[in-house]
Amino acid sequence: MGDGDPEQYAYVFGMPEWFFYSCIVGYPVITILLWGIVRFFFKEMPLDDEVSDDELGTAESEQHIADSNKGNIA
Amino acid sequence: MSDALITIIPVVLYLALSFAVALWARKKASSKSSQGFMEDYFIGGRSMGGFVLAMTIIASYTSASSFVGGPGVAYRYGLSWVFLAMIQVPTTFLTLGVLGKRFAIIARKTNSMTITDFLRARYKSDAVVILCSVALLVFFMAAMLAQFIGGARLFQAVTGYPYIVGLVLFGITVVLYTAVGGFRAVVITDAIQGIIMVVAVVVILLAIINAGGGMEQCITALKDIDPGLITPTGPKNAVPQPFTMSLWILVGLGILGLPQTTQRCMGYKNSRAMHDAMIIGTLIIGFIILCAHLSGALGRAILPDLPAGDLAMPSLIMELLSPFWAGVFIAGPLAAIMSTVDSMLLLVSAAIIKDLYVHYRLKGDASLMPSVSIQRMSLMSTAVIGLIVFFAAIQPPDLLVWINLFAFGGLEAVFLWPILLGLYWKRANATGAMASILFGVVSFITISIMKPAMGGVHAIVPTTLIALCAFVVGSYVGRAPNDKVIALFWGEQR
Repeated sequence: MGDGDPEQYAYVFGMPEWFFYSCIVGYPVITILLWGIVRFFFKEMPLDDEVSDDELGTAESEQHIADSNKGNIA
Repeated sequence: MSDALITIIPVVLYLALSFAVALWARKKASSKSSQGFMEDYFIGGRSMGGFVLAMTIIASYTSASSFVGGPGVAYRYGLSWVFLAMIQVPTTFLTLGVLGKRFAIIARKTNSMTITDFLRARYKSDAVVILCSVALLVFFMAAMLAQFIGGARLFQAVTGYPYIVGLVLFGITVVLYTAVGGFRAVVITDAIQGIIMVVAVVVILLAIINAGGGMEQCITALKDIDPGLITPTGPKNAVPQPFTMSLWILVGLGILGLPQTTQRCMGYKNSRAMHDAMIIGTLIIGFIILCAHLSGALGRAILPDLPAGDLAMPSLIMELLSPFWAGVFIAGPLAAIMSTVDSMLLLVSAAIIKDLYVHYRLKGDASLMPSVSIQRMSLMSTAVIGLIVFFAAIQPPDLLVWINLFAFGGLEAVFLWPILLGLYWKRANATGAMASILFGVVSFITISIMKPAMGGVHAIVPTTLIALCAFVVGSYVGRAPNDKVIALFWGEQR
């Protein structure tokens, strides 16, 4: 879209079609998309990890780190 | 009352507000121990919520170029440049997403307050720490200077007051509130500055569309000037594809290499704050970028014959806005400049006090020194550095102006891979980090000066690749990191 002759452009709200759909529409769409990703793929977790040096806390701290990696796929 | 005086009122009000915030932050930071004070002064006690986190990432990222330089280019290249600028929308998302909670967790575990702390904990190497601190000092000083100069010139162009008045006004403000209030003052003023930036771009965009007789008229006028202004590739294909792609790398990956932005990712309160910031940040930065650049592009329809793109925004403001609103707008770029400078100032101060002084003179134990002395020293060092930059900006030395050309690319070359691979690659070690930093900086400067033909690709692309290769080779040449570091960063698993 937008590769053709500017004389042939279609317009939406006074803006060239390619610009309207990519920038004016694209921006909220991307925001909503990212919201969806955060909402469904990111986990909430505690960040303080005081017990990590403790023998008892080991399993738990591993769990945090594994989770944090999941959050980073995006 | 003269027009120039009316213009300055919103600016002064806004600067006064920044002071008030600093004093409030000073009161809030009531911690008594030396360590506690530093935690508060340099990272705000890791208490940022989502909104403030988003705003401070945006504010430290957007600078004078987002308000003057970028729209100025859009003025010349039309809608194609607006389109290109929009790739900055996911910036906050990427920064927070890639570094992730892992970064925040490890920063807490290792008690890191700066990127240098993080690198020290990961690489256990004085050479890496000193090299990074020096790079940070040099590049930040140059970048702050450039921001000061840009701000003062803009102020001069819009208000008509001499260069030095603008410089004194916001230079002193930013130095004072940063020195007095520390990190907390910096991030809260960042949030206020972010809001002001949003207001500023809306004001100017509406004024432009209004003056042009509506969107449709503006676009038609642009088409009449040059049909290329409304195509995605710009007049005479001025915005080629490789350039667009390399900007993606610059923005997408590169921002992770900017210590003033990355450091924010250590300071949020909890994972909820981070999630919120990813959304709020995307929403707001997209809005600012879209409005500012679209203003530049459409401004061409109003004032078609300016000799340079950089004049576009100042000229449009003077042409279209009443003195009061011009003042409101000018607060926007000033806010962007100040919010970049304040973060840098604090990090330079942190580099001197924490990374060098406390670590080497006090062997890393801040409690050897009374809390009051640490407080006084932190405040003094922030103020002194700020004043040095301020005085340099009165008569800018050529050397610093020249270094600034390399500042952002240079910072990326230094910090990007050591942070990223340090966080995610177990084999990464000090040898690799050193190699990456040296090769990265040298190749970036060489490529920037020699300008070999690369088909429109920005110098940061080959630099990033060279630095990556150097890192990998260096890491395999050097010894694997010791078990303690692995245990600290990756839990007990080997």
